[in-house]
Amino acid sequence: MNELRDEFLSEEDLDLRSLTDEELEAVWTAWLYQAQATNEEDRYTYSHGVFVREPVEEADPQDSAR
Amino acid sequence: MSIYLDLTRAFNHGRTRAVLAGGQAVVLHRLAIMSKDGDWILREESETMEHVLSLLGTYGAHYRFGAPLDVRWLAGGWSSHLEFPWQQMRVRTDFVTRPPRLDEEALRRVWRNAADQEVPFLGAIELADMKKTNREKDYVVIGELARRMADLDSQILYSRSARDLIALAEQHPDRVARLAGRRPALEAVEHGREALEAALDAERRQLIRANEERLARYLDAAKPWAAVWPELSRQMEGLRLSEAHQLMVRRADELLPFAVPGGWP
Repeated sequence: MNELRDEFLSEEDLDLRSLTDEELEAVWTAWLYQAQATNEEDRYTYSHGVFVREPVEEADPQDSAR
Repeated sequence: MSIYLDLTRAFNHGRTRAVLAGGQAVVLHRLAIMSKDGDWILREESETMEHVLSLLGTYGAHYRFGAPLDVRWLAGGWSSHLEFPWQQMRVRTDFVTRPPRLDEEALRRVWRNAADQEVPFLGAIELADMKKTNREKDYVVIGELARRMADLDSQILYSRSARDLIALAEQHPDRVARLAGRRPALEAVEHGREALEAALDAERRQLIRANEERLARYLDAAKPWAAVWPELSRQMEGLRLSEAHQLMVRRADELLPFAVPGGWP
């Protein structure tokens, strides 16, 4: 019987180890293109550094009513 | 070719100036692809700032809300953020010179290691320290990074697996006992898996809170800067990056303090 171990990442993630450098770059770049789908929702947020959210001006209520 | 490898090579053209960190360094450790933004530690020197700004100018980059790419602010633990469109991709480039939780000695180690790398990226120990953020997903990365650490003490100090730690304690009881002074959660090893899991969970929550408190200090210090940002951002639109940078520095001189008490490391 196989012993259980604590798992942090999926087998798919950890399979990056089996890729050649060229294959890794291809998978990486393809992933980055796919991730562009969320650009609008994270437009004002940050994933690094000491800033959390970009300040934006309150929308003019008259603009939104138009 | 990955844009992040290209940029790292270009930042380091002629001399070592930048070490790739964050999620893109996690890719180079071949652990996972989980971030679309780039994050670098820069050398705290004016020449590095000028080189990076000049290069990003050729990509048509613009500033996001953040500190100017200037050693006076980065030395206080602030971060700079720029962005540009590239081949139907939004590329974000984030910079620090004083990464959180890495002290002077750790930073010296980072630069020593970088000198031997064609594409410098952060080693497992320093990356694990930077990943002690307020995001749950980063602790998953730390857990896997710990398994890649060559040094036994580091495995014991960074592991997030109760099973792994109990196995390590069985093989090296004295070492785990000695390291409990640096990592109190290890004291729970002798009480079994459930107690250790609870101690690891509590440790993670404590780290999350500590990072939240650190960010809160910067957010508070940046309030006057945030208040003028929408207007300043409009004024910088259409300017070349070098001109926008000069304008940003002039305004930041008035509104963004260089240092934040309790901010770094």
